[in-house]
Amino acid sequence: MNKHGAALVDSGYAGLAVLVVVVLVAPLSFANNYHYDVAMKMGLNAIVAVGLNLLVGYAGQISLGHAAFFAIGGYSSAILASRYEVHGLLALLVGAALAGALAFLVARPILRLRGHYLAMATLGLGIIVSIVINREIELTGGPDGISVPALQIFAWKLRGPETWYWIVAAVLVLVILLSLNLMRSAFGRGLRALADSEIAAQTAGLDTAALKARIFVLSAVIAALSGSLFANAERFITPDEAGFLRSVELVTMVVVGGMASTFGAAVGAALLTLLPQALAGFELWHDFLFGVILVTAMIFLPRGIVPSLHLLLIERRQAASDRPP
Amino acid sequence: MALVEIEKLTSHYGRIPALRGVDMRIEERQLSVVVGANGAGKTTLMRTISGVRPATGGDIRFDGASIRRLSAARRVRLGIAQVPEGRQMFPALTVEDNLVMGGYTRSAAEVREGIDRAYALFPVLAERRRHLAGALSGGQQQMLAIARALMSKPRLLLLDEPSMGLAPLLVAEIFRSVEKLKADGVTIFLVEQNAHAALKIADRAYVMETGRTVLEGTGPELLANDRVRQAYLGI
Repeated sequence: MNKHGAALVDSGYAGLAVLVVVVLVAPLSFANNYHYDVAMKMGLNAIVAVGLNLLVGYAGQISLGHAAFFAIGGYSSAILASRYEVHGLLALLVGAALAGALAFLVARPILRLRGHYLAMATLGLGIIVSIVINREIELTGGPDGISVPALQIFAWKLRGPETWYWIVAAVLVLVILLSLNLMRSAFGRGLRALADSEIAAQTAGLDTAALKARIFVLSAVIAALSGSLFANAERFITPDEAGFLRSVELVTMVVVGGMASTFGAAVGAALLTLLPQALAGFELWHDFLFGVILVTAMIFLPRGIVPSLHLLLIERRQAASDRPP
Repeated sequence: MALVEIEKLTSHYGRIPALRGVDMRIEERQLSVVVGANGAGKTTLMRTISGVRPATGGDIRFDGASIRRLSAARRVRLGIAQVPEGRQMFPALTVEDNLVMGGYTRSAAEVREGIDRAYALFPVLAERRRHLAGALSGGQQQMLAIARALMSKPRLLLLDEPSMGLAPLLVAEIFRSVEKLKADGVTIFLVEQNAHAALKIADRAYVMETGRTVLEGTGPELLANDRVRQAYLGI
């Protein structure tokens, strides 16, 4: 994937303002709970994708096992709250910590690998987690899934798609803010340097192994956070959420939206969540149309939707200013 | 005491040896040169000194202390900076941000100073400071790679094939700046295929063949050596 010009691509805080407006205005068009539910899922996927983009887009390290971290967050919330009556918020923190700890443990050995080998290793990690969730029936409920009691804060029970829409929207804005700030820091510069040339990054004195481990842990924690929110909002989670297809879907969101672009990841996630819903009316044709739309998008917007459109805008502006008055 | 002492150094790619026991000394404030054909182990030697590749045996001492088990990042902090083969820009970062990355181990004030020094050494980089490094020409990229390595204020500068893929005029310019750095007191270790240009400016020179040093002497001595003239200078 071509990373040149990535510095141009993020339009930063202006984009954040646009997102906040969209999040506030969108419910005006929502007619029922189903709309809130779809919008909430777009937000949940966007949270994972923005976190995954830090690893895949900015740091240039592939992960084909990120659904595992999402599922660890979700299942921690489900199991702790339903079987051990742990408070939902504490369960959420435990889930994030568990995902972070697992990521930290495997980071050093796995992230020494590159390219296809790294893809294979993360794929294996995802499959192992998925098998454990499917087999440990007494704990996880196995293939049937597990239900989650409603999250309660003091006397306030958090339930219904509308409530969760606002919660997810708030978390998404915070995660995007985190991502934007991170990429403006020395740590963010280090990540981009790592993606461009690992050798040059090492010879500049960066501890690349530590850098990779940190970003892997952070993106795993963000995925787990989204998984916990998902389990609490849906009140139910199944092993599908940990599956290989789900991991591929997450990477696809980042690539289609635009690698190394915070808003690209969010837009990709929103689009790939919305599209199957919008195409549901085509019944048997819907998978086919979904594929055609993805392929077309990648042919005409090869850097991903947001970076490609952004570059187009810059070229237009330059062409306009080059023209004699 | 030499700044760097290398003893019986070996390095392997899997089971294949790339360095078969290299002995070498790099004296302070001198320009030491290694010449040799493709596959002789020059780049591996350089990467083993900078720590990007692990050594499998022998020892490297820097300022008297063994650095063999230190990570590349730690060695940069000790004062070893490498200009990697093929320049290895950060193409998505601007020229100035590339320099900032080079000063990763230094304070903000030192980075500002370093940037001023870099622009004084290579004025063309100052003109291009806001350009993306990926948009520079090959010669400018090489200058940026050298300037970036100097940002960490190294005591030892490792230069891996700075003339690679450059037009003769640019090669001459790069070598002039290498000589200037040496005059400024930087200890330089240069690996080159362009043996003629490298030996002309060398204080100490080594010829490598299949993972070993086979000849050693001053630059002029090796330039006059029959074997070197036949094998590497085509005379």
